[in-house]
Amino acid sequence: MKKDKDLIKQIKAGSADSLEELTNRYYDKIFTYSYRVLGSYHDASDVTQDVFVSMMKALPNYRERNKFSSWLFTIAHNKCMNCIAVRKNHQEIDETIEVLSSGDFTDNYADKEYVKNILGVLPENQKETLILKYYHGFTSKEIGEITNANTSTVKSRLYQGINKLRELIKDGEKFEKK
Amino acid sequence: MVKSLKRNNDIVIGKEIKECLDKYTVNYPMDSDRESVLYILKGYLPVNKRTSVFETMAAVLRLSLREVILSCRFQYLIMMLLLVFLLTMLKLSVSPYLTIFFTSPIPFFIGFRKLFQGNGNLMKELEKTFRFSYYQMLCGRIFSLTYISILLLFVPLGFFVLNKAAYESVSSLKLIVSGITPILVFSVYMLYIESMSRGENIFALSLILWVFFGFAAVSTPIGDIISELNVFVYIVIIVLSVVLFAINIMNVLRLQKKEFI
Repeated sequence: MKKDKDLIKQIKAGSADSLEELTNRYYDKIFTYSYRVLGSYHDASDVTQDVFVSMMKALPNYRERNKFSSWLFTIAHNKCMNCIAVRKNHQEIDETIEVLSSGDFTDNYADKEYVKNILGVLPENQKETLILKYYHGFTSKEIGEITNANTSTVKSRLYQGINKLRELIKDGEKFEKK
Repeated sequence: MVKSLKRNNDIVIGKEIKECLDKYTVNYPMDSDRESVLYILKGYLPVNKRTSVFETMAAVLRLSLREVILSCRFQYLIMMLLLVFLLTMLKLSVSPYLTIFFTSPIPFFIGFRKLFQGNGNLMKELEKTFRFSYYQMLCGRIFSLTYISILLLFVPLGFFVLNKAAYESVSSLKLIVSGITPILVFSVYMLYIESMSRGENIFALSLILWVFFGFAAVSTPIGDIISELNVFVYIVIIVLSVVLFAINIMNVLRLQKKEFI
């Protein structure tokens, strides 16, 4: 398997095959990240396309200081934040935790919706930090680079996010027992 | 119980939280979405600048040749039919060498008029794309016109060769060289003139001079001199023209190499 930096070199030289390989390597990761942050297939799909187009525009000036994946996720983070800001302006967010108390958590869909909703309760920065940490395996330092925060802030967000999540899970269990 | 542990200076997510987060599966995006993104991204790929100068020249020549054939095919067909008709019906008293000498550059003139005068804006537009330089296009077009003119020369040549009875003493070699010579002289002349004074209407003046020269040759001893010129003289002129043309092509290649450096 070719390294990212080799693929980038070839893309800069005009190789369509390398572009395909690099896109295939990261497309699903960026999509799943965007989906978990935004909670909408349509928005995630748009953001993923935007991320890769921005990548192509920025690639001629890309210098390999950090990991390519961190750089790409930084673009994704910025795009997701923009998307959330636009949503807030249009007051389209109506995230609620009512599903938590609906009681039907039996099938996969309900489980997914349940987690989606409890993650939706967390502040954006805690939710995103948790997603990057858990689903994408980035270290606190890398998350700091992606979200433009220092390592201690990232750790604090993680700690607070996990605590909040634990409380929400407990509350959910209470609802289930009732 | 969920515990957030600090291990190796980094926070580790507890088991129960993991179990919860694992439930948040995401269906992978559709292949059609991925394909459409890839299609868009390919539009942002840089153009491969590593094509050699010879590949570029070959592309220019291919383009020019196709352009000449597509733009002038009807004119060439009519011109050749007319020429054969005139040669057959009128039984010209003019020497075959002189006939070939003055008619062989006509396809070059027709093509030149069509490509450089009629489609001047098209050439400027193509140049604006930065794919090829004006000089490359000029060389390519003149090379293609020369090539086509030499090919068409074989039509009247074939007529004279097939009518051996009427033109018994005619030498095929001399016919060929007396036809090729004016074509090559004109191509080198137009190449130099066009590259020096782009946009000037020198072509019309050159054409008038050539027609005047033709009439003068038929009605004065100049015609006899041309007809009786030694084949060797023609060959020397051909070699000189080829060398001058090659120098021009080399200049184009050298300029292009500098651009690459």
